[in-house]
Amino acid sequence: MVDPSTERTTAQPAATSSKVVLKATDLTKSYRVPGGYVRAVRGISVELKSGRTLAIVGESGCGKSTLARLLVGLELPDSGITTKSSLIPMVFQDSLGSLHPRRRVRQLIVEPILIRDRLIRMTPEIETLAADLARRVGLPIEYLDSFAHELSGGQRQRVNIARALSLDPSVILLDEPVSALDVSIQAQILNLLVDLQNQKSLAIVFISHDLSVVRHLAHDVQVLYLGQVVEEGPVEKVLREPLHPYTAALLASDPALPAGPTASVGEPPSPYEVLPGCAYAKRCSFAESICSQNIPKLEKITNQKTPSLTQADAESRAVACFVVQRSQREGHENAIAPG
Amino acid sequence: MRRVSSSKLEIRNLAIRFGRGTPVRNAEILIEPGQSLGVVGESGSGKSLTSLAIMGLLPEHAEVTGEILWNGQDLLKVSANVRRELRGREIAMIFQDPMSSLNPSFTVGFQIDEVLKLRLGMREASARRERGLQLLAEVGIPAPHERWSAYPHQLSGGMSQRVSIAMALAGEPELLIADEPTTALDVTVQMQILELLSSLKKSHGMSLMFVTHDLAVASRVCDDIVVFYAGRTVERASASQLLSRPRHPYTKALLRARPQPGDPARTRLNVIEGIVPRASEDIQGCVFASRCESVFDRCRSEIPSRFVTSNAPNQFASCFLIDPTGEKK
Repeated sequence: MVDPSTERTTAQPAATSSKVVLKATDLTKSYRVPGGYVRAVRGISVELKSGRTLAIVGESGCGKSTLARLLVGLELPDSGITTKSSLIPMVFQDSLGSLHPRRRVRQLIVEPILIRDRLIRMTPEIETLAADLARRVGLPIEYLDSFAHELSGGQRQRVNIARALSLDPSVILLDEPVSALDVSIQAQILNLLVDLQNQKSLAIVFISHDLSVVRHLAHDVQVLYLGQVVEEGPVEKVLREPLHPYTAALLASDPALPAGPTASVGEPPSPYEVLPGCAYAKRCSFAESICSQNIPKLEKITNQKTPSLTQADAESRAVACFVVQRSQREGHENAIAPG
Repeated sequence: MRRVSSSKLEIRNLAIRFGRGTPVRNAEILIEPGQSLGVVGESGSGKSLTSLAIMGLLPEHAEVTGEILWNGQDLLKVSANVRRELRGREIAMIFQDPMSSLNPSFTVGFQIDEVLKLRLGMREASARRERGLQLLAEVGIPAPHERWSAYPHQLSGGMSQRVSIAMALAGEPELLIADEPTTALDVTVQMQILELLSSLKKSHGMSLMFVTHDLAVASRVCDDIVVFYAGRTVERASASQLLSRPRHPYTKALLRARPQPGDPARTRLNVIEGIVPRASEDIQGCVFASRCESVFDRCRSEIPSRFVTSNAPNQFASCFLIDPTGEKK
């Protein structure tokens, strides 16, 4: 992750040695609609190192899926640069819809290889590869001859993950991969993702609205609101001691956590809206007059006096909120902490 | 403010069959007047079919046995006319997808007006409009006058769900069945709808049956939670008991499969080995025996009855581990 204003070379101290496998700077994307534009992504920067998982969270319409499509290259950004160390395959929420209904699992898994090598038929080597991939994702070999509709939701998602791994990428992107699965199946897929990451230091971009899953799986998180990152940093910090009022509201809405006092009011905004100030100001209980006039920039937490933040935490966290930024400058604790 | 509901729902030994499949094998549900009960289970566990059976909305070829007692009257034995009278008037239901439970060709106002006219027999159009607007305001719709003439597609998911709640409330039901009402919504909106349902339940004195796959969500709105597995109700406890001290091995496994807020990240989650038995399978013993970690011989041959787990009424777990007299091996 990169702050748009100042380039940063060191991130989490533990990960300084690992290499950057995906980097995007200041991506924007608008779509033309009758009567104007939808500004789906409004200047987002992403940086991901090998062996790490970046979660992107936010409500519907916040631009998560557009950002995903920009990162993998399904869409071209209006502006901004993406550099990646390999092709980024994508796994979708709809496990059935993303598999060809008339191909067998063995063909589905290695389809990217067939396309890359311009092959029409499976070769013995590719057959072996299909079996290896199935084994890696915990799919029993006897399913290689099945069709997608014969598999359960969890098994289908394993096929999708195997296919994503077939070209041996250094990054994969998963868009809500477990949201449609039952809890006990979710656990299997989450375990699989952790294993895959440990084996080959795979980097993962994980798009989700489920904070419990994000807390479990991800190292870093970016919180999106109306096409912008409002807060980013290590998961254990952002999702435990949120700085931005919107992150706090999301957490207060998490049914797995005890009821919080800062639950959100109002509905997620429409991406059609053009606002002069902070997109969250309308729903924010801390909003001041400046919030509806200027757009806050994503800035690193620079204040070193804040007792609850260590130096390393402060360096890796960034927040786009005037109220928080001012209180950090003035050396206060957490502007939005209850009480 | 209305009186507290005096109606009681008691489902005994409910089974629902379609041809050779039995998706609901044996459901027991008791909802005391004014109580909120969470009905939790994974997909295919029979929770939604059970709620459709209460409403009398199952397809005709479904074979239903057992009893659904509404104030002592067995709904499975009464005429279609009597059921129609109850539906919407005494028992109302809201669904997961608010967009498809509203008619896209009519305005919000028209659809609420229809309920008031047909279900409550309100004759005067002006009185209906007044009551309708009052209902929209009550479910938290800003500017109800403007929304009255809006079409469903002009509303967000959260707003449509509020409208369908208003329609359900229009008949002043004694029991509201909510089938996954927040699953399609964003988390912040989900929490708002959960809070709305809790407060409406109190202010209207209704009973609430809240069907969901999410134990955490159910614990936010419900007094008690009953857990379905493979068409059987396997455990019932108060919401806090169920989350902190589950008794049935399935409930325990389900809770351990979800990442918990305090757990260290990226540790292995509990996986429930095996698969849910098919609806067509004939099961001699406990439905969970094929996947249970603590299974012993008796579990495969005999169906565990509902062993009492607490001094509080109606709390049980169907598991021989809880049988006070039986052997545990």
